[in-house]
Amino acid sequence: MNPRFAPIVLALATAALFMASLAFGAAPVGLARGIAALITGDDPVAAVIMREIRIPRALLGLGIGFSLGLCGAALQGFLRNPLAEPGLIGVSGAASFGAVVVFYSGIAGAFALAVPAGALAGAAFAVLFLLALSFGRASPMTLILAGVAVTSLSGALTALALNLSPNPFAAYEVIFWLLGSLKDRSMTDVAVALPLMAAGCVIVVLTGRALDALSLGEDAASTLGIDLRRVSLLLVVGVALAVGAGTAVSGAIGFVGLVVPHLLRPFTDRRPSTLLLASGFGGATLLLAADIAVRFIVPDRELNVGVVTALIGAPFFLWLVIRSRRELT
Amino acid sequence: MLNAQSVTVSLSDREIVHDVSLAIAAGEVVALLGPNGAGKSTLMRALAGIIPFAGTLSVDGRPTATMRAGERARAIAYLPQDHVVHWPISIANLVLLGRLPHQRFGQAVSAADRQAALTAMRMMQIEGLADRPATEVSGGELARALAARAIAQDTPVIIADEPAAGLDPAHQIRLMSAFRSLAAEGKAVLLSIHDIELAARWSDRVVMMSDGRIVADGAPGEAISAALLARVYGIKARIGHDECGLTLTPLGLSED
Repeated sequence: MNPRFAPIVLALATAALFMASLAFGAAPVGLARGIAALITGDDPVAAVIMREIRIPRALLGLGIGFSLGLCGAALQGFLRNPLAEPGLIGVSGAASFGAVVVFYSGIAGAFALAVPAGALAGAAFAVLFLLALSFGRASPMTLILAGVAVTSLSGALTALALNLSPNPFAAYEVIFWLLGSLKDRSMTDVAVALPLMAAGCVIVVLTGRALDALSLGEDAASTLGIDLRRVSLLLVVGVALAVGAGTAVSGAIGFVGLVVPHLLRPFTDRRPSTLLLASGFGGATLLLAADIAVRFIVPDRELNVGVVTALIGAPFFLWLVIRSRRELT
Repeated sequence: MLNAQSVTVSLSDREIVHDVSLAIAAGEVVALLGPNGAGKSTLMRALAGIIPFAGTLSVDGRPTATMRAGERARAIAYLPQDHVVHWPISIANLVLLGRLPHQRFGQAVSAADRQAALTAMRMMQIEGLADRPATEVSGGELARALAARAIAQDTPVIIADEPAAGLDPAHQIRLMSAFRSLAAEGKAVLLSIHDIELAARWSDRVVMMSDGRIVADGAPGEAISAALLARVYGIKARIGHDECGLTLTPLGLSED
């Protein structure tokens, strides 16, 4: 296959799955009826189902999947490590903890956007920390280590919040949210998250040339006119916006950003820049497909999509480890 | 073309290069010699703009301190010592990376870019490898591809850190004659090298470094002497001159 076709094929797959996501659900409303209801307004039940349930869900699946795939590819290129993923710089962990604080403190019920707002605040803290750190000349390795520190601190604080939870229901609510889901999100969630994700994705795409140059190592890249500090700044801010906003409305959805760039690399010319868009559409394809699948796997007790992506992702990760070990020996 | 004045480089608070001044004219190939740890790579990385230094550096009369990163990349090309390629990109795409400083953001690869890359690949005789993944070619082939990448950058100054290391004699000669012909086009070339005979045969001038200082600078036949080699490398060597240039036979260590 011509490597140029990969993003086009995946964009078409994304479009098809987006429509499929609008077509399937608990209520027997097909795509034609739903769209007709939105246009004519003759079928208020179908129109509400589309507007309140399916459109937000499909839009978030598209936006979050795209962000995760794109950011995963960008971070793998930047760190020159095929095992990098968007959660690596600590933004997802910090965003999750921000949401947990909101649940725990009881602010969650106070206003509709309390949880996303808390998660965004958490992501912002993580970014400020990373930026303060990279204000000196931070190497990619420093960035990874700082991300690991942020992630484990957020994890520990989340566990502490669960430990001190006033009642089991609060703890259950937190755990359920942490599993990651696109179900029951409103257009308000979409309005908050989608512009931030779009801005983040644009910023990340700007680093494409620099990522290509980094294939030759940092020294060669900097003599090709690449400002490494500017690149890491753009990536931290872009990934934080895209992934932080996604985590804020959906909870943590793992492994999409790790698996997708890996699966798609062989179908591109392997330059980090060409992988970016392909991986974005690939992420959207995977998340939309998983989110449609969860509606059917256990119909009366819908699985969280984060559980499904982790179930696909973890064995794949293991396979990567085993294969890379074989290559080393 | 390249003019460095009083360059001092420190790495983690330790001064590695002390007050080095070096000028290279257009059309000149200068070989940087010296034992391991003499500060050759550090000096080259500083001149290439990778690590900060005290002192002044100008290319064609323009101070590099006032240049933007892209401008600097169109003035000085740098070929690192280690042969790193992180992804299995094709050799053609690898060489095209040298054209990045000449491309505007979002601009496709131009015909001029392709031509420059092709010329560089022909010089290094790797045009047959164009579609091969860079991670699957031999060490020598990769070294030539990376050299072609630096040549494709088409800058007035080329700085190459041990470009001949790992090449067989034929490709060493081909590489050195490529640098000669680039100099003939009016470029200034600075390269570090361990093979003193190779350096003497192919360069206009040799610069010997020891402990972060320049200890000799001149035409190969004049600058390189048995006394200098004993002082800098601690070796006894017989130096001769024949129709091809300078010959060097190491006899043993000085203290023996």
